[in-house]
Amino acid sequence: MLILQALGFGVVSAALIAIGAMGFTLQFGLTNVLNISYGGVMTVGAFAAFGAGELHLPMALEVAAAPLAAALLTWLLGRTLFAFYARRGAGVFEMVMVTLAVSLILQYGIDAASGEQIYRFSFPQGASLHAGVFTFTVTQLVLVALALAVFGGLEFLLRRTRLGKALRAMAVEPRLARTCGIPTGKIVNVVWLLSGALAGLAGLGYVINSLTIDASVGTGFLPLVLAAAILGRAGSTRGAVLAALLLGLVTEEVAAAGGAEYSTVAGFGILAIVLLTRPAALAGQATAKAEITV
Amino acid sequence: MSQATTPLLTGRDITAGYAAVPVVRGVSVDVVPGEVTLVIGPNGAGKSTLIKALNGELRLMAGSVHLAGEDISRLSEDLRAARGLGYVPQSRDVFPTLTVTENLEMGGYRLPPAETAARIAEIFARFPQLAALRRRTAATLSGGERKLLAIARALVARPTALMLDEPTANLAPAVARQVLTEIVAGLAGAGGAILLIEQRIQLALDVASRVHVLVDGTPRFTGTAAGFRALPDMGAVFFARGRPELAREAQEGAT
Repeated sequence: MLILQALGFGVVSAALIAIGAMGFTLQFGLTNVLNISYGGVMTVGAFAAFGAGELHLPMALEVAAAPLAAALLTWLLGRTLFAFYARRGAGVFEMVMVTLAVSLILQYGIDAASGEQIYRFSFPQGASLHAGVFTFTVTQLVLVALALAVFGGLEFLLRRTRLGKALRAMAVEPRLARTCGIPTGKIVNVVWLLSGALAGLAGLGYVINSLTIDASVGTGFLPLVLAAAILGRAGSTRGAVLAALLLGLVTEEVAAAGGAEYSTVAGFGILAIVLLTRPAALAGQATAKAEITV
Repeated sequence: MSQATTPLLTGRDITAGYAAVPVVRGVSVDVVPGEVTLVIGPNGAGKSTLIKALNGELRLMAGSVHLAGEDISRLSEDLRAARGLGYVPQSRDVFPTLTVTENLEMGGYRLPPAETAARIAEIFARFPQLAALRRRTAATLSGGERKLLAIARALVARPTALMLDEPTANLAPAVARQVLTEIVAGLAGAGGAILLIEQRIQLALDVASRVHVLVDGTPRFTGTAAGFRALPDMGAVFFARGRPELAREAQEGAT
């Protein structure tokens, strides 16, 4: 019974992981920056919404604040700091260290500014709906629908539009893309803004679902997002969604069966097993692309 | 073959290289419509460096690049492409995860969408082999099909001048012959201005009008393909490192 119910929680978890992982995989696939500060950016998004809520702004603004703030922050980081280090010839590993530093600055900056407190994140959850053993709130269903909408929107963008095809082209051969006349330097703005907005949405979804917020929500959530992006093969939105579903279901099942403490352990267990059996999931990506395109 | 035709692509006294070290020094090329201009030389002579300097991938340390009379020396790669400079790199010449049609669409990125579609239809009509593969991803193509796609991708934008960096590298001899004698020669026959880098010198000489030989990053021979063939010892041009008198002979033999 509990095991079955956990499937429902798993789907909601998967939706949140998927939104974050789609943004992460898009960003990493195109810029080749393995951005550890993505977690901090999720926190910033969540806090932007929290702040808007504290100011009693309309709910639409509260919801919009998260993707907007996170998109802007990501764009700024990408165009200034990351671009600065990329121009100075930083490699993939050096960039990881830069983003780790940003992540720590964001996390502890927010921690200090928020008085090192855990706050209640109040958000209307709507009625509880029952379908067999499953129980979902309206808000949870909206989060799942949002993940599906993001997936559908990204698939449409990447497969059907000229800009999206150019993004896919840039992701595999940035040099050749420029040779085609594709202005990669301008298009990368879209990548920062879009991936940042998805980080903000993921952060917001996470605190809506957990009903609490503190300075470590994003950095705590990041490992699962990162795992989904890597499992799904960096750069692939479809892979990110499937991997998120797997991770969401497994972590919630393990939490139901063995206690919440084990859920994250299980998530990384999966990642470790997959990387053992299919190491190219990570290595292939990192070695094939030496060029950072920011 | 008229010497009077205005070159569409001109590299003048080009010096370029990596970091602060020049690999090519003082190289000039003219690429004229209706002709294949061939650049040859031993490995490491700077042929690819020259093409990368023309393309904008490498910054010029000295000299200039003009396309149809316009100075494009300071433009980035994507802007040079937008001005009409076509380039097919030796490797990494297609987008492997995109379909054949999508690869061609990227070639027409700077064109209005309707024009791109029309150009792709023309290209499929001209290369039916490619049309049959339109839904395949580029990664699944054979070497010859892939190179055909790479060249077709560059043609979508109707380039003013087209640069091909060793298009027959890694191709079977029969396919290499087909690429040079049918596709490359066909493009020049249709009025294209083509700069060709090749290792298969004999095959390339059959389609080329002008020949530049680079040795150690400097021009060793410049002249017509016929003049180059008439040299008493073509090998001497290649391996006359440090023996300028041989190069001078070669020059005189050519003119």
